[in-house]
Amino acid sequence: MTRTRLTFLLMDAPFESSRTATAMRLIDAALDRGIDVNIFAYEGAVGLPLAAQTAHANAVHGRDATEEDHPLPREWVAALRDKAVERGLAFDWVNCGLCVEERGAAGSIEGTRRGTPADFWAMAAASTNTLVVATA
Amino acid sequence: MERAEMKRLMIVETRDPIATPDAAWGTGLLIEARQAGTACTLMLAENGTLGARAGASPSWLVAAADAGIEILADAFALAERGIPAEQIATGIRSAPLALIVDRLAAGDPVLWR
Repeated sequence: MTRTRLTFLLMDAPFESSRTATAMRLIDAALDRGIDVNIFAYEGAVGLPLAAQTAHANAVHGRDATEEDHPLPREWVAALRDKAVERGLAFDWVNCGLCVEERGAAGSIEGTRRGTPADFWAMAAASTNTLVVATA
Repeated sequence: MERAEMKRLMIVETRDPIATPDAAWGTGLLIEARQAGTACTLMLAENGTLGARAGASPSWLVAAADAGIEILADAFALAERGIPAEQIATGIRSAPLALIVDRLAAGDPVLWR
């Protein structure tokens, strides 16, 4: 039986738009349904899996970093990656290499890789369907 | 090249329809597709759900419902914004966001706005 595979293209930088969280919810729902996923991170979205993201304290609220529990997109990406591995599903996260260089954003978490927009074309061509979550 | 038949079309509108008049473009496209025989769905998500409030729906959203467009609103986004089910406008239904994944998996075209 042919497996279902979806490709998602993300464009928004971390900590900027609710589109990121919504897209992560969609990817999570796809994994829940046993669907293999590809993610092509374009432009600012290459910052989503940056390993150097660090949670911070909130002096206004009087909370330390642990109490503040600031959400980090790299943890969301890692959670989705781990969920896919646990379920035996494909999870191919590709960062646009040119976008990485432009932003000096090298250093992503394990389980992500560098690529080019041609990878997005190949992903879409090999997928059941593709959703482009463009910037507003 | 053979022209593929499009049976269903979904547009996801994430922007506040009051603050973003351009959000009307999507319903215009859906109404034309519906008139051509395509089943159409408008999924309101994120701030797009602000247009789902009874009394706050823009005229073009009402027109879309009247034209037979299925209009859904992400239940999660509605809850985030404190919009209870009884305040949703007639013709709009609450639905899980994951419906988008189901449509994608079925091969339906989905446009994100």
